[in-house]
Amino acid sequence: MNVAFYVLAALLLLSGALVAFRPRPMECALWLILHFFLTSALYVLLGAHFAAVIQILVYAGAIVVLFTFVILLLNLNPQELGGASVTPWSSFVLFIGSIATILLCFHVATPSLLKPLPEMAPDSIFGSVESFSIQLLTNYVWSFEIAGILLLLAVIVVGMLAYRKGRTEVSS
Amino acid sequence: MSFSIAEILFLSFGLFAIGACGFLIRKNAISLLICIELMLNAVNIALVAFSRLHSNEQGIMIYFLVITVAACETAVGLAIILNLFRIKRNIRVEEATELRG
Repeated sequence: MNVAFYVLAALLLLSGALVAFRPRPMECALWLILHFFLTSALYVLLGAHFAAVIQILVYAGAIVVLFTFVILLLNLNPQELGGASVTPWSSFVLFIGSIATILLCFHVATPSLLKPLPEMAPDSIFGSVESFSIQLLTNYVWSFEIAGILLLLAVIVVGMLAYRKGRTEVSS
Repeated sequence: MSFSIAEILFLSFGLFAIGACGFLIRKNAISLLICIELMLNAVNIALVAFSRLHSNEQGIMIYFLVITVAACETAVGLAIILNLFRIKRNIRVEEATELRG
């Protein structure tokens, strides 16, 4: 269990770095698929099985396909993409290192965070579709409705952005 | 389980930091959106880990909402990028300066 977690964590960080720093967007999108599958594996390790399923269905199945279609549709050459910027790395490393140090201090000062995760009871329904849908349709029914309205609004806005009537192209 | 919540939180922080670095150094708009997905995914890992720690479903519910928001944001963002490409013939973010105040 422990070894599986550390291997997964290393692979997640590696694939995340490849997603963020590979030059071409197509490579980024393909590494993103691996990243989402590894995240899904981490959720299985944590016992959240339904979260793992929707991770693969929604992220790897829908969002990455959307990215891939747009990248293929645009068919950009490297000159249109632009390279990495010239922002100095050292400032980022310093900034992130200082946040990590502060977090490490908090973690060490809070012993309850350092205890191993508790074992789940054998009859626990945590992470199953059953407990998820019970929560979704009782305590979180309003957030469920709001999520539906949000998706509807996104569809309308994307339709408005894609629709152009008699607008001339301005190419610079 | 022999790993603690702190290790998962550090993993989540590392992924968020990688996503933030990528967001700051990339120049093309599609890679910026991909880095935003990376950061949202890092937050999701922390949410599910806390949900597991307390053995209730609230974190997974918020994870579900975050996924919804991420899907909306990707769809709208990619539509904006397509319009940007239609107008400017490239997707470099530093050239989209018409809205600069």
